[in-house]
Amino acid sequence: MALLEINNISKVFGGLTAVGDLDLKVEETQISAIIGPNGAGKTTIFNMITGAYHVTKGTVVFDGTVINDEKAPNAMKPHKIVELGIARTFQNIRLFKKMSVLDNVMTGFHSVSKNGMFNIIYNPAKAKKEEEANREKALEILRFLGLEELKDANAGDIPYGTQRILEIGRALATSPKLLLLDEPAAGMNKAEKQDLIKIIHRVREKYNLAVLLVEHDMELVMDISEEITVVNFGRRIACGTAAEVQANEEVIEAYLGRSDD
Amino acid sequence: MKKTSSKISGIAKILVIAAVLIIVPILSPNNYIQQIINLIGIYIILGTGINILTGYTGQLSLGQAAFFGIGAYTTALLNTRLGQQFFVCLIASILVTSFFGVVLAIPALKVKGPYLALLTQGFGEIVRIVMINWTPVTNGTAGILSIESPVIFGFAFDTLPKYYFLVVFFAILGLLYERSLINSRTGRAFIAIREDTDAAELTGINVTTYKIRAFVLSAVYCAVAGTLYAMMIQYVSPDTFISNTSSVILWTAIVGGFGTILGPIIGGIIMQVLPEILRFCGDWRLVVYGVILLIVILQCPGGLYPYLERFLRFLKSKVPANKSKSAAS
Repeated sequence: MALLEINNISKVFGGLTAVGDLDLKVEETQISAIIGPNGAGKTTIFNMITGAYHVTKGTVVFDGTVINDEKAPNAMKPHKIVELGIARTFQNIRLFKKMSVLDNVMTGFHSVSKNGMFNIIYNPAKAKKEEEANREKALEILRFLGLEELKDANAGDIPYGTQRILEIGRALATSPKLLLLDEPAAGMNKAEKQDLIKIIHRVREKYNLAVLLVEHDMELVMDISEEITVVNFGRRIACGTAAEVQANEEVIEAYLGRSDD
Repeated sequence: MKKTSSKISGIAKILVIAAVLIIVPILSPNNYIQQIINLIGIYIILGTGINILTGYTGQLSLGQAAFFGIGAYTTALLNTRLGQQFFVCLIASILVTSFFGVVLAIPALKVKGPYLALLTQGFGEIVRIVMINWTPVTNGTAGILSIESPVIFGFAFDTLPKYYFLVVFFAILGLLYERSLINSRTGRAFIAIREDTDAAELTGINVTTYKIRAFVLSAVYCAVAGTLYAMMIQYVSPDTFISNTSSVILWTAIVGGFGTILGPIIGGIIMQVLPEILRFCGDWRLVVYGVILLIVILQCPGGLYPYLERFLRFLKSKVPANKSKSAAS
């Protein structure tokens, strides 16, 4: 069974079908991508995977657990889905800007740590121990991403491309099995994109996780993805390897338009 | 070596603070000034409570006086009707106020920004009107008289200078708890909610329960302050818990510096002392008071604490420089 199974999901806003009858599978440790023209419904798909939207039709199953089901009254709560092992980054970076870089990553450990409001009083030694262990783990993530020197800086003050990497770091802290990257290369220059590709590969190897990305940068998508799903008007029009997708008639039409003459 | 020296300077700091705190009631010339000093302590507790809710978690509250009042009335009623002593009153106040913290938090979860401000203000008004009109219990506008001053472990806090130490104890306790909370997992969750609520939820934080926790915590601080207030003034009436009081509580945190642990201390001092100093202005007193506060927030939008911190750091940077100079010569 695949790690993530999206079975025939639809999302209708009022009369508008943002996503219709879409199927998608992500295998463990696979790097895959969703591409499509603007407004094709890519981010809506992410929002149904993370529990921000309830599906109008279909089911989303993650690691054997149904997380979004048309029959249920609501999607599973987003923070519960994070606990199950899905983490995401955002198209428009959403770091905790006034927190330090280190604290941003430490916040990611929220769901895997236990300290509460009271044990910091009656058992401060144990609470401190957990805090120290998390700090160590957070520093390890920062070291791994090459951000250790910035640990005390405010997250809002570091360069744009670095903020995107930090978002990946915060996501990694939640110990995900599936990492969703929403346009990770947006606003990056060529060198930063090359670094990003390396980082995604290294993250997958070290943390043994699957990556699903939405991206407009075709060079990056074709380079990195083992499977590509193409959507247009909320529907899947093709699915396969980079070469297969690039040769697909419908895909070419969606991106370049139909030549009628 | 470095560790021991920093430990010594830490102990020295604590001793200096303790000395100052002990000298204050000895120096205070009369009960009038001592009462203002005690009120500063009570407002530091109130300011710390709203600082957790608004400063760190980002949930604006214009209804803190309601929690303050519920705490004070619970203590007043338990003491005058049932003859309960300080600790029973305090714990009961905390429990009752926490309950109302949850009651306010549930609708507050659904709104933000100006709507949250209106909601909390409405809550404050409801509580005030209940205080006025539920006469059989609250004694209406006349309020509740002759609340006893507390006796704790045989020691009677029956004068204002003695009472001062009780207030200081709880103010320090409140500040210490706030400090360890904010630097913990819970504190990061609060700040994450303030910075970006959706991103916090998608980082695994249960935003709903943490918002409720912030409301309840700030209510608990108000309950402690309410109990201390009721047993100090020995009288409670609805006039004290009006929306102006909510504003003063909010301003205490804003002037000191939202989201800074020691900010409410500065805010508490300024908000209590300033109107007294300005008595020489006669009828213009409150106008001048308002103008000064406006200037403060326009000039220092982050509150006064960050300026104080910068000043202290500046002093610190001067001290070792002098030392190395004298060593060189």
